Amino acid sequence: MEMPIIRTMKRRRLREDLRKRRRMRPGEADMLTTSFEQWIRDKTQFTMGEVCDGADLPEQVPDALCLYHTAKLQISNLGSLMPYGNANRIVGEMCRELPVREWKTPVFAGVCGTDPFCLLEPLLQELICNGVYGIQNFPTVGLADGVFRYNLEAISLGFRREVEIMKTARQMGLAIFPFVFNQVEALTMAETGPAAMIYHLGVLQHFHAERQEPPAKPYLERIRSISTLLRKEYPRIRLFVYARVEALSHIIEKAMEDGRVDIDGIYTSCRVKGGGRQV
Amino acid sequence: MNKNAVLNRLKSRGNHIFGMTLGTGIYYKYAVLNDVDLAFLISASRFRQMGMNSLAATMPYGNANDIVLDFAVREILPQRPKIPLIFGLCATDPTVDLRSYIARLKELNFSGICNIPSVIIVDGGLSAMLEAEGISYQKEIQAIRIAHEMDLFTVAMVQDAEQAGGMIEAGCDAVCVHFGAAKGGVLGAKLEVTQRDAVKAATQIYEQCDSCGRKIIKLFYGGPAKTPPSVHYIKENTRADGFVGGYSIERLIVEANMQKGLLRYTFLGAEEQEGRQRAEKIDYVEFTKEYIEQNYKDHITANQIAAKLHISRSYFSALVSKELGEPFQEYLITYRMEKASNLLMNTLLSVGEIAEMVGYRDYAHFSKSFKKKMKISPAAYRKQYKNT
Repeated sequence: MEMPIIRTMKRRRLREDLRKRRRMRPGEADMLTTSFEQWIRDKTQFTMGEVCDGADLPEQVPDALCLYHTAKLQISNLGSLMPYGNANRIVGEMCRELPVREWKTPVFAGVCGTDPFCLLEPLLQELICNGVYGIQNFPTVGLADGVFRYNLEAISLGFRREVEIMKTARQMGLAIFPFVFNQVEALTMAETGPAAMIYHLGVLQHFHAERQEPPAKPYLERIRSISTLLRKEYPRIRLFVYARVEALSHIIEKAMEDGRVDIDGIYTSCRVKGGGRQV
Repeated sequence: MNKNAVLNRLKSRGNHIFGMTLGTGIYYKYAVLNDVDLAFLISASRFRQMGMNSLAATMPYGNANDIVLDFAVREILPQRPKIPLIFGLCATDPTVDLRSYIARLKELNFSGICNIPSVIIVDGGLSAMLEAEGISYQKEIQAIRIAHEMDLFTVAMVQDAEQAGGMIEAGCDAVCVHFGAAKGGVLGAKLEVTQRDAVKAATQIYEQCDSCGRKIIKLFYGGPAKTPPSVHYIKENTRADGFVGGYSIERLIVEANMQKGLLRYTFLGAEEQEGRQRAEKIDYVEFTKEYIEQNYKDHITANQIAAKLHISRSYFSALVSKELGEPFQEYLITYRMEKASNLLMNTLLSVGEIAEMVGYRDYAHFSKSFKKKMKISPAAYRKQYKNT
């Protein structure tokens, strides 16, 4: 097992270095020198492009790119929690192999915060050194439910750990754009002070676009309850909603425009070929 | 060791098969020393040695197959396989081609495979969605089928009769009921099935095995099957041929001895006492089971045991019924009747004598309880099931 080459430096120096380097990037948009808070402020649509080989070109240009270990393993994101590889090591490798620094679009990395066999600070430092803009909690235990999830929480491989790593990442100067799955998780995650977070509607979305009366109501209900809660407690955090099913995503978007749900935007994802050289 | 040798070996053990999961070389040494029937090389075991609960084996902290192959090749295979080695194969792994991988395992002298880590550990919505994505139990069945075709010994981990049906159809040699996560100890999870539900589930699955027309070896693993008394209980109440020890081995042997051993090195008496109290708290239920096993011949009451443990009667009752899945009194009667039916079958003692041996002074009372439990009178039971 090879140790990642990391530059050890004090956090403040690291932050300064990060700021300097961002300014120095070739062909840099102004956006990267501004903070995530400013950048995300007026977005109502956020498209994340998952970097992977062999994907079709996306219809819309993604706002940011992300590196997930599932892309390298060529499995669906739902399989992210399965024991097919060391998620954090794979993401670290991807950052090293891909010319992340040269891309004009900011790059997020999916960090597995629950991994008990990984020192996460060195990993984050390595990500920063390789030009990563921010992190997301991926793979996340939020995807799991039932007895499996209960036991994961019981043996301290739970969502708490992911929150802690987000906190550390923010202190180190990385942008964080976390997924949350319910009210409790939203509240704990909000404590880390993210500029925005994504409410993931969960894995189970039995939803058919062909149906005349789509069962979107319960989802809108859930979104409403979470947004009221967040608006009350943390009005500064921008709330995005992610639905895996496209049809549902459209309905939510409409509801947002009509003002039926009080959210800031819709989060979507697409796959981007070979590292997004075209963006 | 080839498949026939393994089968003959297991046949000679009757229904006392003992399999053991292991993740390091030293465990293998002890398995050989004690002539354990089957050695399961699984990633969960490795994770336990690394200080994590076995659930970590179903998380993206490493490639399960690589982990097993790595320690097998370095720590176990060089010691020459003297007992059957079963490889815990993660069949849904997208990075391996099952056919060539299993062929390679055979070349490396593995006697067989077992589908663990398995998707059966994942439940709820995620499990349903994974299935839709092709990460399903079907792939594990396919792995067993391929291994069967290559003449490897195959153990199928199952959680219900339907899965068992699929595995039997694929040609598995042994079915092992996976009771899920285990509770207690330093690494333990929180939710586990009760002993009673475990017996119920196993009974159903074993029925499926027995009705298929060929001999299937029936094993169980995990969950409440973690101490000798509980393993004994499940074995007595089902038609299992044997048991596979996982966390039970680590918990019982390593954790307990580590704690005891370390306490002997800490000189401060106060700390020793504190440590002992802590250890006792974990083991109230185990103590109860052992106490019943040793004293079922005498009069036992919940008050007695509660007094011995220095806890209140009500706390004791609540704890026991939660852990065992039935009230204390009910558990005691089940245990005694199990013993009595054994004696009825295998000895010529009179029913009155047997009643006394299992702690009933009053024959009528015994007979009544027996009838209630077994739905048949003791005398009729003997007539029907007598062995000689």
